[in-house]
Amino acid sequence: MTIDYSGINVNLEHILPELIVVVFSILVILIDLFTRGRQNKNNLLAGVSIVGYVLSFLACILYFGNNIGGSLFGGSTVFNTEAFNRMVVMDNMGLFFRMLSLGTAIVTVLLSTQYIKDRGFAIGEYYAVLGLATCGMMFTASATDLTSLFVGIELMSIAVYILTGFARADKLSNEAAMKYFLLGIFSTAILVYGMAWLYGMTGYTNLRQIGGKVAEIAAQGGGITANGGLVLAIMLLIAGLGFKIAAVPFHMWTPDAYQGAPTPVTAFLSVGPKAAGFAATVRIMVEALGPAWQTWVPIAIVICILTMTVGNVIAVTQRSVKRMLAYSSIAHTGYILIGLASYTPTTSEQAISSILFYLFSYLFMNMGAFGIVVWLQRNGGTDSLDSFRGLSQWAPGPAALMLLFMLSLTGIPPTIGFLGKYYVFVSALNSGLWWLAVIGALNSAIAAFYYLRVIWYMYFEDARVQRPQRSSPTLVWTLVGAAIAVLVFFVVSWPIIDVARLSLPTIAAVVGGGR
Amino acid sequence: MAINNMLGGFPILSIMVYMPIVTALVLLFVKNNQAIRRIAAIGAAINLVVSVVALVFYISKYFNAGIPQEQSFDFQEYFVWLPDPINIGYHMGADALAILLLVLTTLLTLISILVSWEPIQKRVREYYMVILFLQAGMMGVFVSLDFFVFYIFWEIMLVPMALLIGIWGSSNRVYAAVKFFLYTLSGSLLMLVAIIALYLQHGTLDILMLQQLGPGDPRDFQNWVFLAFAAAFAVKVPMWPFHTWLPDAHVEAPTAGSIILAGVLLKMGAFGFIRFALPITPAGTATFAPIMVGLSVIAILYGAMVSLVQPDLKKLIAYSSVSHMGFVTLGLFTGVWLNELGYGAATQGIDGAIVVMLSHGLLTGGLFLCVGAIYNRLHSRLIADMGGMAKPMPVYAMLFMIMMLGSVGLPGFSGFIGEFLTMLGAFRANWVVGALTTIVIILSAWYLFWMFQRVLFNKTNSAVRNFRDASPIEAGSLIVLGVLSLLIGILPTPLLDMINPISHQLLTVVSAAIPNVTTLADFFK
Repeated sequence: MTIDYSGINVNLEHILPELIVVVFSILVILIDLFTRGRQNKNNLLAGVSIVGYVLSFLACILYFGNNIGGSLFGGSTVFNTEAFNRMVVMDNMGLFFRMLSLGTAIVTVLLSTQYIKDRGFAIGEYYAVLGLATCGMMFTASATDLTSLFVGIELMSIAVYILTGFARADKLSNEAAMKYFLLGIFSTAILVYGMAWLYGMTGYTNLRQIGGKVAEIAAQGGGITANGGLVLAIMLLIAGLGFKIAAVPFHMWTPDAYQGAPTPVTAFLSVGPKAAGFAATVRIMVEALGPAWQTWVPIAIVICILTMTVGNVIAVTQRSVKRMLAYSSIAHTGYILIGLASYTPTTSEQAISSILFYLFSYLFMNMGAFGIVVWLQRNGGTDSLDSFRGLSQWAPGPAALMLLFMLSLTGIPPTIGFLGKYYVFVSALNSGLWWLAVIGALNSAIAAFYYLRVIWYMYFEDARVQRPQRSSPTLVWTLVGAAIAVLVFFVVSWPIIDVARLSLPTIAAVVGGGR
Repeated sequence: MAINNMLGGFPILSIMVYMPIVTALVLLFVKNNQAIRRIAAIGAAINLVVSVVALVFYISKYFNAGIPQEQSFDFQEYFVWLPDPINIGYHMGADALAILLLVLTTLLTLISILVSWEPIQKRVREYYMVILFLQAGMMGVFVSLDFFVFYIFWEIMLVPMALLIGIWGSSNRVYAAVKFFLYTLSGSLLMLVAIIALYLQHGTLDILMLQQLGPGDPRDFQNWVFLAFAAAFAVKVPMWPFHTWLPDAHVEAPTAGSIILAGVLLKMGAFGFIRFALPITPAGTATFAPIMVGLSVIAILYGAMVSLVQPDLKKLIAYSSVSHMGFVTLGLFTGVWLNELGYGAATQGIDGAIVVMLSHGLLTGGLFLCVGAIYNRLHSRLIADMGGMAKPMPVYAMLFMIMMLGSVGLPGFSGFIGEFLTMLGAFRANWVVGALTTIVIILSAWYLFWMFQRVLFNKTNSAVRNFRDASPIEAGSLIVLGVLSLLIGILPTPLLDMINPISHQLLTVVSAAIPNVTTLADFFK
């Protein structure tokens, strides 16, 4: 018996972006051991982390260029095939999510530097764990096998649990980490159970091979619904993935984790793991279960409506801005799910690209909003709505930035948030789900209320205290950068949309392949 | 696509739209409050001049060969903004209606800036920035010829207006600002869904293209799109029963806010109906015309009757706005309704609606200015606190009277022309509707004269005895508004010649769609 190794392809170039991030994370720990002085250490380690992320980002851009026909590697080297025995792939969708993760990580580092110094966190560990979480997100995005997907999700999740509880002296942070951890492993167990059923029903762990098998099952007499095991697998997977993206009714951990976590970590949490969760969702639902779309799309629609509505309605009652943003983040999961819910084989391009674009837009506006909370906490405020009272009087600049981020989250032009909503609504109408778009629109009106409340506290109320402002140039310039991105990508959105349209998952129905 | 621009591609409209934003950004770098006021006023004045120049150019071109017969969009600008497959263009252009509204906007903005000179002492820079941003949004709405661009400007208006009410308003301002924001946003979002539906139907959002393609849509599609449009526009007009945000917003807004709100923002809804709903979904419009007419009649009567019992002067004028804007929608939809009965060339209703729009902008803007002048001196809006003001303020009383008489609809003022034409249209459509609306002539005379008597005559209230008379700015602004109103009232023909092609075009489109009309009973089945 001969074993054919030719398809295994262990070329390390296929995981180069992840490798760069891992190497720099380890580098951070090593440098941490050999430097003295908190100020120096903080600047140095933040700098090293960012260099790592930027290098990795550049690598992603090069691969992306190569995939769409650039000639950097001589134009002949093909990377967008599955490697490591069909475990990972360097396809455009994976690269898009990798770049999103890296962008999130860069912004998080910039938001964190002052914060972790002020609060006395362990500096080296913070940046290293953040790097590993990013690495996990990137692996999740590139995985094409249930096992590698699971490993990616776990690497991300465990690192994020640690980050959530990083404020060791803070009870809220500990509580948040514990809740997040317990519910997280619970959901992971459900996810893995679903994966086991999926494997049992199809006989493959590779997503594209599963897709081929599911297509076969769908073509048989009774279709998908006749295969109870597969339906169970779909349900379990939706539940497991729903936890990761914070969809209702699997959202219970979100408010506590978001409120308790150190604010820069919350910013990271609200974008990074959510994006990775959506990467996993798209991989599993579209690449593996795409042929079964008629089974899971109705469930996705119900979850989508619930998520939008519950998130928005509960957000209205919140007095803590972090908690409010947590519920708003749930609601935004709902808007993104409109994209997934409008998936059909013929409208997949519009559906998936609207998800990708929304996540891109969400990165800037949501991290910006959390960044303002970080700024406020540094200047003597808390995350309660009362801290925002009269902000425009003693800090007109940050107030104006927050105004912009709130408008963007509401979806009011000229901000990128409007475009994100526009594309998911286009996607819904494109699939004939006009009522879903109407529900989304009405939800945006509900959401306007609580975003507007922040604006009114900042602008309409009088300040009770005039606080002196401590200078925090890194933070402020990061927020200005995010604000510029919110405006600029509104005007020049087409490059991003083009990239999103080029970053579609491989629809597997044609990939059969026996063993 | 033919890009019609008599200035050879010179982007005069974009300049007008973005000039306020540039002015506002300049204000960021100015420290001195007095300098801020001057710069804002100069910016607004330049914009007024530019808009008047555009009007003159437009008239001189299209009246060159006699009275124009068709609606022409000029000063167009076009470039591709979001390329294929999204296919959205940055398209600007103005017809006669848009240019008239532009002039109204620039005029009222300048007046608002001038009358805020003394009353606004709190956060002066932000105040003028907000007004200028608001102006940019309003101008953008009138001249966009791409739905996407239009929607952007439409939403941009929302935030500065809410800030204007919420920061510089009176006691209950937060409630009013939030109510205003949420009401208008809910309507707009439904319109957004309709816009996307149109986009997917036709693959373009260019308004001129949609005006050609839209009437061919299936009638159910048109009905639903019209309803979504109506949700946005009816809130903005505001039509009864979506009007409840208006009195709150007006009462709490500062004077400049009220002037802009009454003068320009309320025109957005009617403008939306004229520019989008009627030409793009004519069958939908015709289907729902009876309902819209009914709501308009209710608004006219209800607004007038509520005005009658208002103890608050500003609220009284606000409700009179509801009544007057009812005339606008009445004119528009009786025009459509008429058509159904076979009066193909009966443009009176729509002509009247447009004249009422302009006239209401001038006169009600002026009335709010008058109320603001009292409020600055008395710090009360209650009619009971006033009385006998004519004695210390004779000039002011005289100008107030002109505004009041114009609003009543006295022949010789623009209000009369508009309301007369509208009622003519209404009578020709249905005599019951016509008869009901004429009642309001009596009511409006009643509440306005009575208000005038209680404010300016009667027993002189001791608090008002030492009031100084109208300042030059107040008097000058009121004179300009009054003269314009008189001009339209005495010589309406040039104005009617300008707008007649637009109403004619609308009716042609709608009558072509008549075979496509559902009856209401069918729709609800």
